[in-house]
Amino acid sequence: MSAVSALFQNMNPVLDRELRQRSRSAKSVMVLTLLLVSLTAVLYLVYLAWDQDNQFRDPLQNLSAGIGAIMFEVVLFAELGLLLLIIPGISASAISGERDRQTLIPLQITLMSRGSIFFGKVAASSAFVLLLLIASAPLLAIPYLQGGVSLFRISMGFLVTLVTGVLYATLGVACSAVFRRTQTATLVAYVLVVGATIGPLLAVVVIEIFQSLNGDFNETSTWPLYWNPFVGVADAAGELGRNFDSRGPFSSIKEELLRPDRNFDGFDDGFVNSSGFPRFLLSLAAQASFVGFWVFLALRKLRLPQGEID
Amino acid sequence: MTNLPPPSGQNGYQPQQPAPHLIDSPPPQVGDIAVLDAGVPEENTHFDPSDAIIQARGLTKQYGTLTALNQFTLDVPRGSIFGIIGPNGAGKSTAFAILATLLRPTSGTARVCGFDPIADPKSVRRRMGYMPDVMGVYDRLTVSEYLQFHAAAYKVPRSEWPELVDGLLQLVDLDVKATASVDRLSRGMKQRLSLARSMVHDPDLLILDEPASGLDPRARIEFRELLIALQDMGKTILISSHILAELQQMCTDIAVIEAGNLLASGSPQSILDQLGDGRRVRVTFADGSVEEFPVADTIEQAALLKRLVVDDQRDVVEFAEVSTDLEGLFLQITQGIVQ
Repeated sequence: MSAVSALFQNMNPVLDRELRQRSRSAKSVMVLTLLLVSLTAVLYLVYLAWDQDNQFRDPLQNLSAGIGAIMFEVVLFAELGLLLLIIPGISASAISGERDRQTLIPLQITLMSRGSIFFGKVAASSAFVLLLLIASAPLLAIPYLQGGVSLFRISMGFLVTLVTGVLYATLGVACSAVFRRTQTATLVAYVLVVGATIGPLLAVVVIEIFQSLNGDFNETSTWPLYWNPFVGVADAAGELGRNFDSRGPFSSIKEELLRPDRNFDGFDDGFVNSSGFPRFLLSLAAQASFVGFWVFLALRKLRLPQGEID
Repeated sequence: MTNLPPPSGQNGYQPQQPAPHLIDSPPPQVGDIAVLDAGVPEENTHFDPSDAIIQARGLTKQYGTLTALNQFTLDVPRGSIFGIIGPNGAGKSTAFAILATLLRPTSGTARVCGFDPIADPKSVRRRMGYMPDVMGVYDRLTVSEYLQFHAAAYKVPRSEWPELVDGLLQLVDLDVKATASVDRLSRGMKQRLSLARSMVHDPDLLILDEPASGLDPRARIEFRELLIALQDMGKTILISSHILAELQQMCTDIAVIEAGNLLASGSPQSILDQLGDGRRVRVTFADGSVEEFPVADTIEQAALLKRLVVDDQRDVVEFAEVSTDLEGLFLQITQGIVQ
C-alpha cells in the first residue's frame, strides 16, 4: 500500500465526509468564484491606479518592479481580509450545524474521540482555506512576473496567510462547539475576528496615551500587535526600506508598526526582532494562544457524558 | 443478587439522596390501585439479574429543582425486547441518555453490557447502538456513504464496509435506496436507516428512543417486524414508545415510568397481574344481567363457576375472562403528570 493510499485509508472519517459534502456543494463553488472575482478586481484596480499615477513619468525608469511589489502586497492583503470575512462563515457552523441537524449525538457516541471529531472539522475547514489560497495563487504570479518581489517573499506570505487562515478556521470551529446555536457561534466568531484585528491597535493607542501621561516619550511598545492577524503576514510578506512609491500595505505595516525593533537594530530587512526571534512566528504563536483558549473550551464542551445535553 | 459496585462515588460522580419532597411525599394513588413506591419497583423475578445486560440502580437526574429521573432501578434481561412506557416528560429519554453514555446522573450507578457508562463510556459504546428520538441526516450524502461514514467512525475495517453496508441495507429493506440521497428518504426510511446506523458495529444492545414516532401504520408494522427479527438474531432491545399496543405486541418485558419514577416493571402479563386490579371474569346470566368477579387464577375461576351454577343455581349463559390491555392499565396507573 502506498503512502498516499494509506493516508486515504486512514483518513479522519469526519474530514472524509466533510470533503465529500463540500465538493458537492454549490456554496463552495460560489465562495471560490466570489473570492477570485474580488481579487482579480483588486489586482486590476491597483494596475489602473498605478498606470494613472505614472503615465507622465520618465518611461526609462524601471516602473514594473514597483507595481509588482505593490500588486503582491495589495492582493495578499485583500486576500487575507476576504479570508477573515469568509472563514467564520464556513467554520462557525461546523459543530453547531451538526447539533441543529441532530447528527451530533449519533457522531459523539461512536468510537471517535472528541478531539478526533473536532480536528476532523478543523481539517475540513482548513482544507477549504487551502483550496481558496491555491485557487488564487495564479493571481500572485502576475506580480512575480512584473518583478520587484521575490519568490521567497511570495512563498512566505502565502504560508503565513495559510497558517493564519487555519488558526481562524480553528477559532470558528471552536465557537461552533462552544455555542449551541449556529447564529450565536457565527456572530461570536466574527466579533473575535474584528476584535483580534482592531483590539491590538486600540491597545497600542491606550499604552501610548498612558506613556505620554506619565511623561515617557520613548517609542511605544507594539507587542499587542502580535495578536493582529495582519501583522504576522506583514512581517513575512512586507519589506522594510522600500521607497514610498513602491510600498504596499504590508511594507507600511511592517515599517510603522514594528518601530521599536527598528530602533533597536537600525535598518532591519529581516524577520527577526531585537531578541533574534522571527516576528511572524511570534505573531502566529500569539494568535495560536488566543485560539488555543477557545479550543480548550470547545473540547470541554464536547466531552461526554455531560451534566446536560445540548 | 447484583454485581453492581456500591453507590459510593467510585466512578467519579457522587450519589446523592433524592430530593426531600420526593421522600416525604406519599406514594401516588390512582383510583383504588396502589402504585409502587418511587424507586422501589417490584423485583423482576422471571430471570436471573446477573444475566441482565443493563443494570441500573437508583439513577437520579436533577436539573436544578427539577427531578427528571428519581431513583430509577432496572434490570434488562439479555435477549429481551424491553419496552419503557411513559408520557412525555416522564424521564424515558433521560434514562436512555444516561445508559447511552451521553448524560451524567446526579446519583446512582449503572452497568451496560458489563461496563459503567460514566467511567468507561467507550467500552459501552463498542457494544451498544443508540438511536435517538430524532434522526438527523446529512445533506449531499448517499445512503451507502452515510453508513460507511458511521462504520469508519466505529473503526470498522474499510475492507468490511461493502459487505457490511449491503447486509444492513438488506436487513432494513433499503438496498434499493443505496445510492439515493439520505435527505430525500421518507421518514419511515430514515428511521430504518437510523436503525441500520446504530448497528454498523454489530452491538449486543440497541437503545431505541421512540423509534416509531411519526411513522404511518404500515411503516410502524414493518419496524416492529424488524425489531422482532433483530431479537431473533440475539440482540437485546431497549425501546421507548407512546404506542402501548405496539409494545405489548413485541416486548418481552415492560417498565412503566412517570414523572421520573419507575412505577412497575416486568413481563407485560406480570405487570397486568401485579397492577391490573387482578384478573376478572365477566358473567352473563340468562336474565340478561352481567356481573364481574375478581379471580386470582384459573382454579378460582373454576371455583366461582361451580359456586354460581351448582351452589347458587343460577343460569349462566356466558363466563369469560375480561381482557385488560396495557393501554387501559397505563391510564389507570399513571396520573398524566408532566414535569
